[in-house]
Amino acid sequence: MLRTLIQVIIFLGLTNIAFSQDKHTISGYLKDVNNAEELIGATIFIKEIKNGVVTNPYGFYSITLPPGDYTISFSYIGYQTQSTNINLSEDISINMELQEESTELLEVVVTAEEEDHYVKDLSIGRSEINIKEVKQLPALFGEPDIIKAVQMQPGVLTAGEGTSAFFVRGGSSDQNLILLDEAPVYDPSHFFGLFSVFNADVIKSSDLYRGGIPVQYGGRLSSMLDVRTKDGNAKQLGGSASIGSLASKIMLEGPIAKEKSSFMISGRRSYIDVMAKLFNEDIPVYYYDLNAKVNWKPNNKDRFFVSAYLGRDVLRFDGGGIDWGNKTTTFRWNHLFSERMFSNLTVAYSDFDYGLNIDDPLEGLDWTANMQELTLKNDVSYFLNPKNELSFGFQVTGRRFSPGKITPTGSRSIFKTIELEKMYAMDYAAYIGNTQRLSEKLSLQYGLRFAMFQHIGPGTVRYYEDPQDNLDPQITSIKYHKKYKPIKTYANLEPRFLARYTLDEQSSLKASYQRMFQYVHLIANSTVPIPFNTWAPSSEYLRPQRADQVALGYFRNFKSNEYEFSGEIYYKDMLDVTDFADNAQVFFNENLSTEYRQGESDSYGLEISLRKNEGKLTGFLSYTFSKTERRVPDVNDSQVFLANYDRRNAFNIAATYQLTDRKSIGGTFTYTTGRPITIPTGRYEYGDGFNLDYYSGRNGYKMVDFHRLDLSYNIEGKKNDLRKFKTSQSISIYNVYNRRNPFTVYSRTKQDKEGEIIGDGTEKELRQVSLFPILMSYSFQIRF
Amino acid sequence: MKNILIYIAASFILASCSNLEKTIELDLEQAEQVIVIDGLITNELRKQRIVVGQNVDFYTTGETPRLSGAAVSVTDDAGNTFQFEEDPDNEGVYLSEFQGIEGRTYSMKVEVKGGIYEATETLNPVSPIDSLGWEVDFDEVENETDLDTAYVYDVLIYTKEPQDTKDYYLFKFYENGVIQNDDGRDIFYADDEYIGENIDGITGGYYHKKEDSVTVEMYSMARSGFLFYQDMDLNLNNDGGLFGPIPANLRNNISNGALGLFQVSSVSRESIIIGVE
Repeated sequence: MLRTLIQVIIFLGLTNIAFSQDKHTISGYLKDVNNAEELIGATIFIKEIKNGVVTNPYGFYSITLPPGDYTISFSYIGYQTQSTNINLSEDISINMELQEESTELLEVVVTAEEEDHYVKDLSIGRSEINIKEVKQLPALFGEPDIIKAVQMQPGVLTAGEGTSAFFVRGGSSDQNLILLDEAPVYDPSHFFGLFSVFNADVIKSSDLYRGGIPVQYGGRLSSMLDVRTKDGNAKQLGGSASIGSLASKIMLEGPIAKEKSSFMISGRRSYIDVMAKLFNEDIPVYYYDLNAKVNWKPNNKDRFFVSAYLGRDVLRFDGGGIDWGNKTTTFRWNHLFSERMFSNLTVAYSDFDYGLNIDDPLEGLDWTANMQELTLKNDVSYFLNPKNELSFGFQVTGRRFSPGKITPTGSRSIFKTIELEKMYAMDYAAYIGNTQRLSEKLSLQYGLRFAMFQHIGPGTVRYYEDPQDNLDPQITSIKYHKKYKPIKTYANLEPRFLARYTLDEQSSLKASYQRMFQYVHLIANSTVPIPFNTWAPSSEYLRPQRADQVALGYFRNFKSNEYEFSGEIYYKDMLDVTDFADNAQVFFNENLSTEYRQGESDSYGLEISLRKNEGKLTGFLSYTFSKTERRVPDVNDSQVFLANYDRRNAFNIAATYQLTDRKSIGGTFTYTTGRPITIPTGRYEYGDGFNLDYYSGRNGYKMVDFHRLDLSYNIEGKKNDLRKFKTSQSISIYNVYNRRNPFTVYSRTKQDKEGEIIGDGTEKELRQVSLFPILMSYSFQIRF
Repeated sequence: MKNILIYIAASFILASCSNLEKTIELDLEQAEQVIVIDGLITNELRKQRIVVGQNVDFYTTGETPRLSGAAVSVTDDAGNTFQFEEDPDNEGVYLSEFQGIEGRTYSMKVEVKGGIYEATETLNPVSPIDSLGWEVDFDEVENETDLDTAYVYDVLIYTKEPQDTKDYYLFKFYENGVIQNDDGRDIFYADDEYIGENIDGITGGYYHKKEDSVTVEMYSMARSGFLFYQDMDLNLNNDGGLFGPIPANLRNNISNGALGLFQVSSVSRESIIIGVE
């Protein structure tokens, strides 16, 4: 199949090359005129051929045309469209800089041609998270967070507020590939999920793919969140600082060599621990983030980027502490082999670790665990002609999993040093794809990704008599494998297909199919992962997870693209989704593989989205109807059950209204069906007065519906070109009508507020926990 | 021990919102009726005890029913059979006097309400508690008189953990003859996975006051017992499955879907009077 595809593509390529000898290429970069940041996904439209291209994630575009006169327009959402006339007689490079539209302009200028990207784009199930919009919307504790915006997109569900986990089209939260400058982030949460690791001030773009995942990417079943940081202002020194209710941040950016090289550096730290000290309280909990990026663009052909992220959470408690965090580093080299061949080489390193420390002479211990990965990948785009854009590349990833090590502290400690064996894995992938404009109406994107995953030595494999027997695991043999020796190999093909058929100027139909495989598995049996959950590679007793997804979409813009509407339906069938036996012990278990249970999952849904991009009122509305069921051997007596995050209806509105030049209000409203929960149906007594719950099945009940309104009021400082500083302030009210939304429900023996048992101790009760009452927050930002 | 991470995470989040809790009433389905067996055979010469009962619906109050008229017997792998007789004063409690022998395997058979429920387990040894001690936790002491009247004393346990065997433990604490488990909310159980040999004064589960008589019991268990108490811990202290596992019924060693456990243990026991040198 791969060979046939390559042959077809080569054939297509050759025929085109044969005809393209007398053609010329227009290529270049699109940037913001103020800070020289490249614009991602901007449109280059050629009037004469009624067709165009979009810039890639590095702001590059390339289009090859026969000689002639052309009118080229460059447009990007929120920016003024620029047009230019050229006589194409040789290859030319046009680097265009676009001016951001200011709010005043929006009211007076009627732009001739608005963006119609979702209709024309060869993408389905994609949501751009507009960082400017996120900053105007209400923010929990005054901290704008893209993950919160992701959670409001159609097709995305949450397990409740205050968590950074999100669930896309029936997938669990570990099935999202979260990339920060192309390096995977394994745990995107701070403060157990209250905030994400993404500092809004450093983000340039973030795109969520619920489907139609480009062939360049693989490794997770359900979605990709592609977050890219700012390159740093290459024209002048600038920055921003802000103070929120919970955290403060500062960002500096500027040229190192004007327009050739720039840097961006940013830090963020929470300060409830510092504030508490002022009131003589001790709340030793904090997190911090550091983002840094340097780029060097010596010429049009070569660009280099180095970016790094370091984030950590620290929580001290009486007698110990825990901490966890991510580190990522990315080196990227963009190279133009020709005007028509763009290459990006990435080396990305990612590390997640956590530690627990108990200070006690007897029970003192240090517990650490981590996982690391190093990736080398090369992605090449070959802009064959206006009709075909080839992409091909490869990826090699090495991973090391250190599931846990316990070291006693002090000589009297009752603990002994023990370490769970490290596991190693290699991951290889190669892909080829083509974006083909068959006609003015029909465009296709298709590709094939070949991925091979190997669990490699050094490593010991325990073979079990019954690999599912977690009650009394019987090991039949143990085999040691030497360094680099493949222990278990899985190889798979992942076809991807996407078609767009333009119905008319305002509307299009799209269809997609994708197959994804996932080779790393989150070891968590809770609904929401906690930072102490580790990951494991596919291995002898853990098969790769597989997902097939088909989606159909209807996209339509109204009122010359002022409104964007889309409706999509999907069906997703997942095989070997990783689950765990009832009561599985996922921490520090040397027979962990006996707890694995893999089964199937089905999900289908309808997603409606309406966006308004222009005017005083902007924002979006999303509605998702979906259902996700699982069937996993040994879980829920092998009977079908609703996924933990299954919610039938989810409805979100996010809007901002520009009151004046300087003042705006923002609002978000969320309504979702209650999450399924497992509630006891009975109780029984055992032993020394234990009153235990009896369960009839998993996820048989649901919590009450969730709904919440948040509002924000934003004031920009007076605009004056003479001023060096621009200020803005924002007040947010979270949970305006103070609803006690359900967070979780648990059972206990009936007791009073002090925890004293009421009655004879046989009476049980269900307790519903809510997380946030009405909350006010304030943030102040200064930009320079 | 293993669940400490979950507890820290859950308590961090839940503690911050304790005033945002409320009791809710749900319309729950009827629970199917299931037999509950609570059996304990120890290496002490005593009236070994097997209790047979059943579950009730979640909101049903009062003691759960005990089942009378069951046929209960235990056999060992040395060919002995012990018939259990129902205690005339305690419905559903079946007794038989004998002493469990270390290394022997015991099989229980309970016939009740038309069903047969069986379990088999080996009696594992337990190392003796070398001694008990006590110390004042001065973090708890607010003034001088606390030393005489307040619950500021820790009990200390000294023992050895044999490193060449795989052991599972259950601990019970008694204060002046009354079991301490926070009204059925605390369970003290352990495996020896990351425990070294010397246990030199590990503290017990509760604070005591001067002149309390404290007894510590250490039970050996089979792995099934360890899993049972570990699951029980999750069952009693679950957060609804948000950060911890989705709640489920306890795993056990009894056939035919009965709840409960057939526990076979060696016991070591020591007592101490707190505050007395």
